[in-house]
Amino acid sequence: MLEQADTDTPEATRTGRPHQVLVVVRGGTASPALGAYALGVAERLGLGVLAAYVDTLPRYGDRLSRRERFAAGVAGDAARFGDKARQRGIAFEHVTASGKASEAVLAIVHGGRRIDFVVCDPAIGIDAVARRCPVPVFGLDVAGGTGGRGRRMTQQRNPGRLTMSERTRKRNVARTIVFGAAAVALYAAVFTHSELITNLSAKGGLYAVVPVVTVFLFSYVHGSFTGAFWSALGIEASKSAGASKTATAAATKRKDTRATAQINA
Amino acid sequence: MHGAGEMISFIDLNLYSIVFLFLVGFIGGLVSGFIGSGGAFVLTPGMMSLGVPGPVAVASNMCHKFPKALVGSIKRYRYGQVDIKLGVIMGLFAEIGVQVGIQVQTMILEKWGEAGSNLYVSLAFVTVLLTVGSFVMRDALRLAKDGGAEGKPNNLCKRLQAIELWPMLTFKRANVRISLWFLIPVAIATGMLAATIAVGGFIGVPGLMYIIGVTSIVASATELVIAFVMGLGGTLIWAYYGMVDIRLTLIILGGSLFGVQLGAIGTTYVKEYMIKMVMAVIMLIVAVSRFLAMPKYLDKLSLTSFGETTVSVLSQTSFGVMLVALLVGAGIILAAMFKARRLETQA
Repeated sequence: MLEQADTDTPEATRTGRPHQVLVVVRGGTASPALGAYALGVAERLGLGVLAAYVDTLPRYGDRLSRRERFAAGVAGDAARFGDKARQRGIAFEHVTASGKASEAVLAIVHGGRRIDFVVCDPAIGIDAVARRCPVPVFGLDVAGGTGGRGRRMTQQRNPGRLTMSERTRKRNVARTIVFGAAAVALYAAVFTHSELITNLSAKGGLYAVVPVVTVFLFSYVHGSFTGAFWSALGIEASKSAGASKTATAAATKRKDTRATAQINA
Repeated sequence: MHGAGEMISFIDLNLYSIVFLFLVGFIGGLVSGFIGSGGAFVLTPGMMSLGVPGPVAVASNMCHKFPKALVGSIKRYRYGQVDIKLGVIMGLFAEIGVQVGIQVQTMILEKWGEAGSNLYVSLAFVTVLLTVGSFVMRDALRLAKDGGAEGKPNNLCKRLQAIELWPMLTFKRANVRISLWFLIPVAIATGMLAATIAVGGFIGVPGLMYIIGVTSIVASATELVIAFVMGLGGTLIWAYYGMVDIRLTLIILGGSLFGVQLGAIGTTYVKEYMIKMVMAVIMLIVAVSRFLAMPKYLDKLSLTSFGETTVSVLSQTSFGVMLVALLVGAGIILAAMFKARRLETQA
């Protein structure tokens, strides 16, 4: 179910079919962070913005009033979104859809438009969209406040480029400093009292636990330090490793099967 | 009185020995984090060359090995590479293998003396490493030629997995269902080798890959759990006799924890056959090293007469070659990892 309602289509874009960023919004209101991010990227890359408002539960509750509220929300929000885009000189269109977000995205991407990539609302499960979408799909890391949507946070971890934020880096530096200081303190403590500790651990018998407990303590503190140390230097596991392998690969490496390729040929 | 204080004197530490142990610890840790074991075979002779008595070197080495394996296995568990159930079961049976290995050693020591025991260790080194190492190398080269995809499991593990012999065990992460009776010999052989040459992983990892049918990533990660279980048990025994020089242990640990984290990170970048390749290269070079050490013991048993100067040159070369083995392994790991990182950031 895809209904189109162009609000602001400059002459040039109507004929040339511009390259666009598809912003998928759940419900009738785009979060400010999502809008700001999409506009920022579109401006940087010289793309247009296509906002798709998706009513993911069209059959829920009182359908008629729900539909009306959704339509009203979309009208208001799209106008605001369009205004912001116009101020920055970005072409803006919006469409509405109902049903599953992943199907709506698929329909739009295959619908003869030139969608370069998709940005998903944090409230939409990005995995389901990325699995079927032929163009890259990005989530948005919106820590610190879009109300009740925080519970979906875990689902945006996959597209590493956006979420490997400054925050993580700072956290790693802090961990390096804290555990580094603790490790230095431990080593200093042992080597200034080396006689005592060496003799205790060489006493044998029940004192056998002394060296074992000591190395456990060191392996926790020093191990945390070395782990954070490499992370702080930016040396981390491959992003395509482990569980995220499939999702990221699907999002970035899938063959481009869009209709535009045939038009250009 | 269990204390070693009166019988064995611990060495004085100087800057050279600290830096040496730290660096060898780091490189050994890097290799361990990557292939699941290694590094220990250089540390024991390395410490002895600094004047540390044999048992203290073995004990201090083992005491650094299990926390290193712990840190490495936690890291690789986060990457979803560790099968804990497999590791713990293998570790417990490997513990039995260690006891058997010690009994064999004692028996040989009583019969042929210290030189005989050393010769036995060197022979075990050369035979095991040459046969297993060349087998792993052949497999790694074949995979490298095929473009690096992990080939289909070989026939042996397929056939063993098909045999329904009670009790059957299922390992989810390793994605293997096999009878306990096939795990036990691999685990015991791992333990025996660990008791003999200090690196059980040279049997443990290939055993897991070719007999049990686990991928090389999961095998090398699970070996870290086995090493932890074995190392903890061994350390408690050595510490009971007061042989652990905690200062040496902590210096090596200082370096090896840096290495083990880096090695674990490295596994997420490289193709699976790289683990086999690094393992095979190290095994084959170490085999050469131990082969060079054999004339010393043959001379002592009066089986040959190479002369003292030849023997001392050969012994030094042997130690040098072992260091080379570690350095080459570490070099391959770092080069492969940074190449893959560069490609990933460009993509």
